[in-house]
Amino acid sequence: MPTTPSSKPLPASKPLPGGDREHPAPPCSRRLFLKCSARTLGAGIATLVLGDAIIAAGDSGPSTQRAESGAQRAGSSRAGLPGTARAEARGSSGYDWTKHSYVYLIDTRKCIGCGACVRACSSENDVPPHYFRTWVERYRISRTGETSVDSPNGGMDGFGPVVSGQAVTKGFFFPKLCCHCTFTPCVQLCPVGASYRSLDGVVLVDEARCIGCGYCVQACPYGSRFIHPTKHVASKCTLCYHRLTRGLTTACVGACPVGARMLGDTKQVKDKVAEIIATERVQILQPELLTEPNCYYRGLTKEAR
Amino acid sequence: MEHAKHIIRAVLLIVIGLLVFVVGRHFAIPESFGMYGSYRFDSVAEFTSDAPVHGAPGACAACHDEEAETLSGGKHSTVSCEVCHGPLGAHVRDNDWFAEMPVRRSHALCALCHERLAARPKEFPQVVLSDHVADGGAEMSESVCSECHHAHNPIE
Repeated sequence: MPTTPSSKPLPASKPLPGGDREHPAPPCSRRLFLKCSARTLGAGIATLVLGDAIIAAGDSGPSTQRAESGAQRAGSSRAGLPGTARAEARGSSGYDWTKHSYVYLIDTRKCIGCGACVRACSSENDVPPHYFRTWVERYRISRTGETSVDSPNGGMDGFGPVVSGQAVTKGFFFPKLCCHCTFTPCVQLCPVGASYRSLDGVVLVDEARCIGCGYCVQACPYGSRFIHPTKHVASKCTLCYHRLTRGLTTACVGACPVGARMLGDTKQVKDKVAEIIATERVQILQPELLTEPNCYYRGLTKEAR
Repeated sequence: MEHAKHIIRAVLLIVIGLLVFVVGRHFAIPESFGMYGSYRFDSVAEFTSDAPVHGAPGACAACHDEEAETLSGGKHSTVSCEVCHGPLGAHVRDNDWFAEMPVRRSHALCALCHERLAARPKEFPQVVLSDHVADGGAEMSESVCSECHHAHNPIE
């Protein structure tokens, strides 16, 4: 604390406007000091409070005491939730998110590009027009490797014949959606804890908490997020979480007429999709990013990205 | 004791600061935040509470068993009713009839899957519609496909 170079401490109530020869003006008066410190302290507290709100218990897992007490804390108003504690409370009929781990498999050799999945997703999840939680791209590749990609209205209205000079030797449809990565760039950088990955492996956005900053939209290497045009929050594929928790499959998988889209659960015994992923040669998108997507593909080529 | 004033003031400030912090933190953090990670667990519940729009497999057969049987015996057995008719939620709500289900007979609906495209798998049945109609000796019209093909069992 800066004081005057005096042997006698000055009474706190006495200000030092100019000082004199004996008591020269200090670089910072007590009043100024208190003002400054109050301001700094206030800012510090604000940062701490907000910061703590964001990172609170970031590392606490389901097995920690905190999680347990938290689960007990959950009242009956939230009945019907997934969760260990809740499943116990509700008996075996309850959905237990610790007993599922979803994987998605797309067989591009089967996809016929009808767009039924896109339409189903749109109506199931009330996706705004011209925004897509899942979409289908058409790849047309010629012998020389020349590649053209199109996705008119996300493939929602199907694909028409293309008249072009390109001699297409290889063509396929490439459905895309959120890869529900194990290591999620989008969740990591969410500044308010709105994006998260559920225990059953679904990446979700808490719309009540999202501030619509759009960082996650930029971070997603697969382009599977968008800012909702009216809600102004990040929106994305939820893997039809409301359906999964009721024991239904996703709208897109249910709509696919040729079985090109498949949903699996690696925690289920004898799961068909998990078996394919475990035993056959499947690909993921952009493996170099180490995001470990849970959406696998069959039948892609090097041009597909 | 006169000199202790400084200390008392500093301690007071710290105590007030701590109080503000604790109270502020209490109000700033939602109840279920941090239960399973740095997110609001109640959000998961909100996702689960949404009502499905598309029906469960076999939901349509509960009332339309005849159509379902025709469908299951034909080439379109893998095609869900909702692919062509739209989501069940527009037709049935709370297990009760809600509105008429649209029936589209346009060839545009058939073309979504069966128009010949270079990108489609070769083994998938597909036609150039104008050629196919001419080959069949039919007149081009909106519902031209249904003149020869039954949508629920296209190749009888």
